[in-house]
Amino acid sequence: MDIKAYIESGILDAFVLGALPAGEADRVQADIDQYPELAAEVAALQDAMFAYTSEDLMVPPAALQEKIWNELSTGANARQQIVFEEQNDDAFSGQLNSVPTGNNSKQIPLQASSSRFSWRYAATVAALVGSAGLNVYFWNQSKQQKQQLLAISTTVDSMHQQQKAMEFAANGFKKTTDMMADEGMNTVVMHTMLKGHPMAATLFLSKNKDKAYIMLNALPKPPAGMQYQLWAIHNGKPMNMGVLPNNMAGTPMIEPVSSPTPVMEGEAFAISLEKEGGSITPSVDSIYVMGRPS
Amino acid sequence: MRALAPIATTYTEEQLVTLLRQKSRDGFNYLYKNYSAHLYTVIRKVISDEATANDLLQEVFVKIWNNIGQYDNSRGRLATWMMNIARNAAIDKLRSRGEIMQSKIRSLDGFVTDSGPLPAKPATGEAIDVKNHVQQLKPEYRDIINLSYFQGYTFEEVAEELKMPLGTVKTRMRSAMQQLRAIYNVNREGK
Repeated sequence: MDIKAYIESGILDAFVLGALPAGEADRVQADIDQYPELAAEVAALQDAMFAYTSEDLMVPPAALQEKIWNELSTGANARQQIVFEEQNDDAFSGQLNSVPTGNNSKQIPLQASSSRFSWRYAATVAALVGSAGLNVYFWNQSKQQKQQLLAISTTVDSMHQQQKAMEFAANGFKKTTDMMADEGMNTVVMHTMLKGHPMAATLFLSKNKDKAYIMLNALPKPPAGMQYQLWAIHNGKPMNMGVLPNNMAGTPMIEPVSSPTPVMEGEAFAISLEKEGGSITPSVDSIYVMGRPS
Repeated sequence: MRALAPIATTYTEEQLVTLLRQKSRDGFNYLYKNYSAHLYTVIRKVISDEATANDLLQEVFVKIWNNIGQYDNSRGRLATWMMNIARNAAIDKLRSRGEIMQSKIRSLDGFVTDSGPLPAKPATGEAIDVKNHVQQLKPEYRDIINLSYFQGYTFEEVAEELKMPLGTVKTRMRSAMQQLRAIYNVNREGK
């Protein structure tokens, strides 16, 4: 993909402005997920929009904070499953409201004249008191269940996150072991060149020297504006094997090396930290890890 | 109404996300204190009716609260994730209420200057700079950003509205965003 042309086309700008039809926006999102350069551009565009929308700030009415907190902590948003108890609550209050009232009164006639007092009224009063008691009981129960559900859902969310991270790591390790077990591949482990900073990266080279794969699992994320670059030391000279995507650092991702030069062999291999886009030659101080093929 | 606990700490976005995932009240208070005005402003620029905007702000906080588990920091900053939730909720409301047609009738100039009741500015010193920032943006760029971001126009609709070819709209969107970046000096390495 021609990243520069893609960016220049304005499609990412339309994406950030929410001006793409749904299907196209999904396709652009997939591209962004795949290419870190696009993700960086989108992040910058979003930052600019954020700054723009931060102008002339309007403050919401003061009472909203407490209202929203009440909604979040006890409100009906808690979880769908609570609907059942809430329907019960509604049903009870519906019953209270629908008790037949006198023609001119909006209140339930609890204090009718003594001459018209009857066991029917006594039974109604008893039913109302009982129903109110049940209301309180169910309300308390529902409140407790809401709290329990919230706690459970938080735990499930966090377990789900952990599981995703572990799956990602396990996939990475499986790829690594597959790669190491592949008889057509040589494994070169590059170790740290900076005393006191334990770092490592692994290069997998095909024995017929046409392919290389790299993993930066034990390298720190490069600072802004910097990027890792891979080198083959061939006949004592460093040969550029290309820059490496920043999102690989610290992860078990294994990616093919897209070397600008056809050099896939050397007496040693090294990774240096260079300015974004790479350098023509590595400076000695910038070499982070180095290793020799066995 | 009980008094809110004082917030003495500054949290990083990462710490805030953790607090929100724990459903912490401190997390909510911090979120509200630091982001509610921004989210509210985004909503009010789409929906001018105050009562609807208040309800929407509540909906947006509920969405953030319930979906914080899905927030993925590798896909962007928390602030922009929340800004998009607010913008999308407001645009959905605009569409659901059939207000999109009405908003199309509103003139572009009216839209830019008529952003509802008197804005409450948090710091007067900053407000002066801010005005200058907005004025630096070319009017034709401002129109294109406002139409798409705050009125939910697709770029085809923008082309129709401004009577210009699709290609020109895309190019102009690019130029508009480039100018925004230059104004706010945004030129950073993505996450």
